[in-house]
Amino acid sequence: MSTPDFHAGVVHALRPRTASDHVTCRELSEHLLDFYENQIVAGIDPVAAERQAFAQLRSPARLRRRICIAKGGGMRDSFRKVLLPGVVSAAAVGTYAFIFEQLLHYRAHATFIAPNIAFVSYWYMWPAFLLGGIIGAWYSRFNGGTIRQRLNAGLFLAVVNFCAFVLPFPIAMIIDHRVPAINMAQAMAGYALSQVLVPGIPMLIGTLPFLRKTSQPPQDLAAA
Amino acid sequence: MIDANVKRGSAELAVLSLLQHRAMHGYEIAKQVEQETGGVLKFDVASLYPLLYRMEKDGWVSAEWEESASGRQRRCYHLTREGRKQLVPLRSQWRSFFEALDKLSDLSNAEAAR
Repeated sequence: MSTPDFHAGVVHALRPRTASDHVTCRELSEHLLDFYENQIVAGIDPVAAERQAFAQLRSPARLRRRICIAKGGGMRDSFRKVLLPGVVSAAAVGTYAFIFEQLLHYRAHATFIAPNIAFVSYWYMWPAFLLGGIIGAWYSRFNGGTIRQRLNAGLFLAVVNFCAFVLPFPIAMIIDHRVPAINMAQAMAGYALSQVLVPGIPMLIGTLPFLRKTSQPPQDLAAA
Repeated sequence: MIDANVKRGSAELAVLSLLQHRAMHGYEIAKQVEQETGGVLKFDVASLYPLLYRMEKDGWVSAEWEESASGRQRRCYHLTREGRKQLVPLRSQWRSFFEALDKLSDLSNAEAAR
């Protein structure tokens, strides 16, 4: 009787997507093959041994989720390495903007942030964007973020601005044809420049020093 | 029967203790743990590999594909310096835990004898 194809079984159960997932499948199938061979040596019927081997996977969906979390994937990881650093960086930029807005355009009884604060192409905002990029990328690296996660955290505010100010225009163009497309396109280009490009460039510059590969895990660097 | 939470906590200690002597692949770790503990602790694929991957991510162990005597490739786990450092507090925590349980059981035995 031929040896069961454990690799195919594991691939079918875990549905690998990344190269790392494929390595996991290969490793798990080697484990199952070892288990199976030992069961056969112990005198277990091959069919029962194969069944017992696959039973080790228990619930494949649950195993897939647990492995993903263990390897640092999944929601919790993205929250720690992208969302949290990004929000902290955006909050820092927002605080800076609020302070400067109050200093430069102070009006008595002004208890709200003027709408033009969102129009962030003012010169005094550039250092804030640079700092935002530094904070986001550094915090992500501190939490063990990969290079891509550090980049995402560093550019978080620019991405949020893109989603908030630029993305609605093509959607609006598709849904509503009453406004001329040329007007929409002009408005979209204006917002893309002021809300995405202007903050994005200094943020990218602030992020760059943190995109180098670290030779040891960041937590170790922090502990050292 | 030992509760799952207690087993989970002790699993790290079991794996690190085994790996401090020599590098092992996953199946070898599972088999050794079962043998050494007389079957009290058992690992299957679903319980062992998430633990190993978490320990690898934390830098406690490192893994490399190595060719075994049979010619098959196996991913072998090595204890890292960080893992070796983790072993000391883990051992002392579990020792304190068992000593505390011992004291409690002595106490309840003495009360029962009264």
